[in-house]
Amino acid sequence: MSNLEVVNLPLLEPEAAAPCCPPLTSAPLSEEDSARMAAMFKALSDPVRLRLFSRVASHEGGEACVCDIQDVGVSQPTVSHHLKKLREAGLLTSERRGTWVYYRVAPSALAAMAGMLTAATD
Amino acid sequence: MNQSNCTSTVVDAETAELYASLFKALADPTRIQLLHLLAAEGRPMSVGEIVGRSPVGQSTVSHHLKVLAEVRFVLPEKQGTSTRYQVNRACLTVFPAAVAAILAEPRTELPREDDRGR
Repeated sequence: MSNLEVVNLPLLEPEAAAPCCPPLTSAPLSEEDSARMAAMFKALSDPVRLRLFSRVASHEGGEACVCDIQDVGVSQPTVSHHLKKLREAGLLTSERRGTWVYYRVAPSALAAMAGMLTAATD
Repeated sequence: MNQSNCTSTVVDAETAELYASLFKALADPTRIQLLHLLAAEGRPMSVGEIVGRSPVGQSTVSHHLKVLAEVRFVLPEKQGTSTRYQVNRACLTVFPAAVAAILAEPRTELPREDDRGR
């Protein structure tokens, strides 16, 4: 069992996430931008990875290590593998502290993903 | 089902499957560009016109449009022998909700399409 201590850390602040892409205009997306976005979506096109990503995003303090993530139905090495893939896609950032690597959501990445489609509704 | 009682906001397995399938449709640079074009134009476009604005050929464009249509990001509209495509605005509003749900942001209400409570 994990030790569930309640810590009042600030949650992710989405407002602080500046979109890293220009707003949607009729100008075509650059090849580089579309490739980067496709990589992000690809990383989230696996249900297990998507849930892991969600888990990191909703974890206390907005960050989590493999040690925090259990009961997702896959082994710890698999969790590590998926987290690495999410990082490579630019969706998570990581920082090694002692034994563990801590992951946190890359805010600009998400703003870009959401922004791609929202702007079109204006 | 295996309900975890820690947080109700984290996406469940079923929702994860659904969103993963949506994201899969966007996991290709060409499809991103096609969707971006249709979203920016905001009107139905013929395949020919879309091809004229893309760096790839007609068969590739048609294939990718079909994938986007399967998840209803774009809506095809038959006109005689040709098909015109336009972005599905309903999808555009659901999409940020999906991102919000994955991030477990409590502020955004997700449109519920299941009836779990029955």
